[in-house]
Amino acid sequence: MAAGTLERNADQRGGAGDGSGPVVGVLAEFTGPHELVRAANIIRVEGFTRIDAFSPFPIHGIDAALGIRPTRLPWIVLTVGLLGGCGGLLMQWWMNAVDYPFLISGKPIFSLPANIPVTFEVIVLTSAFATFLGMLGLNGLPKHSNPLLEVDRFRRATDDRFFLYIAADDPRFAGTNVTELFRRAGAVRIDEVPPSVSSNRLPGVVRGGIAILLALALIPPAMIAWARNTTSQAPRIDFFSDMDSQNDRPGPQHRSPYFADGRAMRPQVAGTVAVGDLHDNDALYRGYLPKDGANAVVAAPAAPADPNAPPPEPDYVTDFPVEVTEARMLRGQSRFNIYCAPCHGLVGQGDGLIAQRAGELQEPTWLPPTNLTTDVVAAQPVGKLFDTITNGRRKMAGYAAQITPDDRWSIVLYVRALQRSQKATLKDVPADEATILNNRK
Amino acid sequence: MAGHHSSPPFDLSRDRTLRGQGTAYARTAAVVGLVCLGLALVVAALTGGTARIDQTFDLQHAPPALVGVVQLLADKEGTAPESYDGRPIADINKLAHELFSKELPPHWDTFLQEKTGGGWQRFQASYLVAFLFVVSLSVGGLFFILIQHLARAGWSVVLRRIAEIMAASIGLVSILALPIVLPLLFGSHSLYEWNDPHLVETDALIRHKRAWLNPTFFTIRAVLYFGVWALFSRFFLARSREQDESGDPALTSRMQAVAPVGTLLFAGTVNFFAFDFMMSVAPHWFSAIYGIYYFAASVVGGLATMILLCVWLKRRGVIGSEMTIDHFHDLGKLLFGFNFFWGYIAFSQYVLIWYANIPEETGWLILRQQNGWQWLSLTLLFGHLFIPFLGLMSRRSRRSIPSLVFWSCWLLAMHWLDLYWNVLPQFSSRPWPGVLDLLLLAGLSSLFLAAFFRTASSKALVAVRDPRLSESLAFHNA
Repeated sequence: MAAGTLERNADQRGGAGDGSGPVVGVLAEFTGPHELVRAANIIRVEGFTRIDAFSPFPIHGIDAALGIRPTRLPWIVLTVGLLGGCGGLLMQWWMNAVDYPFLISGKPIFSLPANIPVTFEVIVLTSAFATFLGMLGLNGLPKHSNPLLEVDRFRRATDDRFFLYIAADDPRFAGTNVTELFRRAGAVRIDEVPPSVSSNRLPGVVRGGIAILLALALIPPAMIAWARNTTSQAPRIDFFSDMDSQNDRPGPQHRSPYFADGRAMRPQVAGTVAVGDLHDNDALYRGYLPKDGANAVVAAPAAPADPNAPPPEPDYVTDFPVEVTEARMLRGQSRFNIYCAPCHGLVGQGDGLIAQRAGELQEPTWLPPTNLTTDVVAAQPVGKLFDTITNGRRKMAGYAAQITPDDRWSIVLYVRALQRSQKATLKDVPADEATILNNRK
Repeated sequence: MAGHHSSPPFDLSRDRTLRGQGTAYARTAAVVGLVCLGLALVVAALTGGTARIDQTFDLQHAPPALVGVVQLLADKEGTAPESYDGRPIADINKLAHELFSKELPPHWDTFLQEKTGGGWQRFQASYLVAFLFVVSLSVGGLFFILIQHLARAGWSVVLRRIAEIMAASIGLVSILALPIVLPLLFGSHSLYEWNDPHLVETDALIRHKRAWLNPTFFTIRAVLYFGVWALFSRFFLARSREQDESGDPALTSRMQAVAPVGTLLFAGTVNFFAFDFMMSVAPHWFSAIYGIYYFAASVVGGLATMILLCVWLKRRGVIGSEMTIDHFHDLGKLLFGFNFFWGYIAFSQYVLIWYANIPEETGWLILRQQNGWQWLSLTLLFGHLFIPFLGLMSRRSRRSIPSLVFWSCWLLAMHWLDLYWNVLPQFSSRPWPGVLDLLLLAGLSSLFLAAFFRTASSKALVAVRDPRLSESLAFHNA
């Protein structure tokens, strides 16, 4: 294709157009992709290796024509990825099993299933980095200057022309008339490429800037290392103190200059009742009615009749001061199973797990929990049961602090059900339940 | 086009059918399939049933459930549990059934029985596995067609007909569901224990699930699944074949318009098919991702089958040079990707159950971690996930027909093993597959091939007048 002009580029910047001066390579221009590929084949067959092609779009077959071998990048990615995965696994093992052993949900300290998600993601991350950085590295990027950019014609490489380049440091460059070779291969224009005017090194400003940044980047680790190896009397740095220090706010056990007794904590004024504390329904809140007077439990008898006789009982209520419903019964069952069953057992027969364990241990001071289904307890009024739950009896502590009065009555209701259940017959069972029980034979 | 991989012009007149051999292949495959099924029945009948409980009771080493039963017996008889030491467990079993059969947990003695390799129940379980396997191949083919039409893909046109035929084979393959569904309607509960009326009465969870897991609704749903699949696959095959004659681009538009609806219905049906047929063999278990697990496995199976069929058809000259190594390369890439997707889903299922550690979910996995099943689980982990992942990773392995054939066969075997691992632990305490399993696999696979060849009949195996054929012919993997 000798139709094109084969002139040296006369308007190159900086280098000579007459063949003198250093040349880093020769650039040939072609009009189409097929011509480019054909020429590349010719150049490759001649034995040139330091060659490259430039075109506005990717061209199928150019790799083979240029003799470009499949890239090593996949192997780099695989290696880095697998190493990254091992690193991820190692990181988790070190952090969770060795440096700060951390028991999570009862799982083994180093448990592979739990570590897989992070390991997988680390493999993906390191592979991605390896791909990107590896590609840049294998391509020699970023290049801060390229001698080809000195050739004005080369701008057409992103437009409508196709270029082949042979570098001067190719072993065969010296012994071949490259220009003639390109001409035979069909180039329409051949340019000599001068060395790049700009340096391949980073600009001084950029290098200086990076150096400064690196130096600055050493400061935080240095500070951390210093802090880890020294002690300090200064209080810790408090970023979000919010309302942490409220100097004038009086706290518990604080002095106060405003009150005569000097206390910031104010006791309840005598003769007052806090809101919600007026438990004036004795039946509901105490389980018994006082004999006379608001707080009198029982009128003291004129003379103690018999020092060995048990103290006279309060007037316990015999009816539930709350509404008896199915919901209450179920509530009582659930509360009983939580608070009472550990000692008294699920049926209330005094065979709860704690009682069984105590039996195994044969504790001499152990008082067995009462069997609530005995006749003695069944004969007690509901108010007495309530009072037992509230204040305790013998070795049992009172549960007033844990169980609300309403719930205590629910428990009493359920205890009554348990007591009744031990005396029940098949006639007491509802029809549908009775059928299932019969079928179980 | 110099410098390119140049494709020869497409010869429309070339015979791309099975050249009259289709019926012969179908018949041979059907005969082989039925013979294998018959042999399997014989093997099942000969190797007998399940119970082998001739060990003796040892209070120190017996499982807690058995100890509990013995304690109940001892209470009833007024003796001590130690008095049962040394007695054959078969005796205890009989005694317990006489006294307690309705009070003990259901199937309390199943763990005592070493489930042997034969019997009707074992046959049913193996049949189910093989059935799920062949259905998954059609399902995988249907998925391939759906996404190609969804994406308006051009590269796959030369091989899409294979997937269409694989998918449309579901019509004949669904007949194979009868040995599973019919016994259910007649009250059989050897495969699906939720059909056991005694269990429905005593087990609250089974009773609760009865509204969904009952034979009638199960059958209706099965008809629905296979009906939807048959409908859509027939539609795509018929339109594509119509286009062979007319070359009408409007048919492509129609197929593309149907693809979205088809995909949604596909998702729903495959999901619930997996729940119904595969997951309900363990009705006390829960796993929401199970449908996707089966779907992922199906795509792998479908793609592997497509690769093998395409290689064979090219070897026989039915598909010509229009299908190039680039098409196989893409099939290999999809196979690689979806196999990893399967592994991802399988691990997702595993790690969530492992982490929560809730007994109602872990039981299923624990069953697969003991009594030798753990070796099968490890085989799956390495054989289905890690090794194929590394093997199919490189570009070269996907651009080599022998390599693709090897890995397709490998993955099909692993796919079957995966389905086996899902179903069989509920029925057998012996982990490794036996003659029965292989006979049923061979039998049903042959029947699948028979259905394939029957569906392929004497029509072309390449979509010769698809508007995007030229795109497919020029397809070139970078």
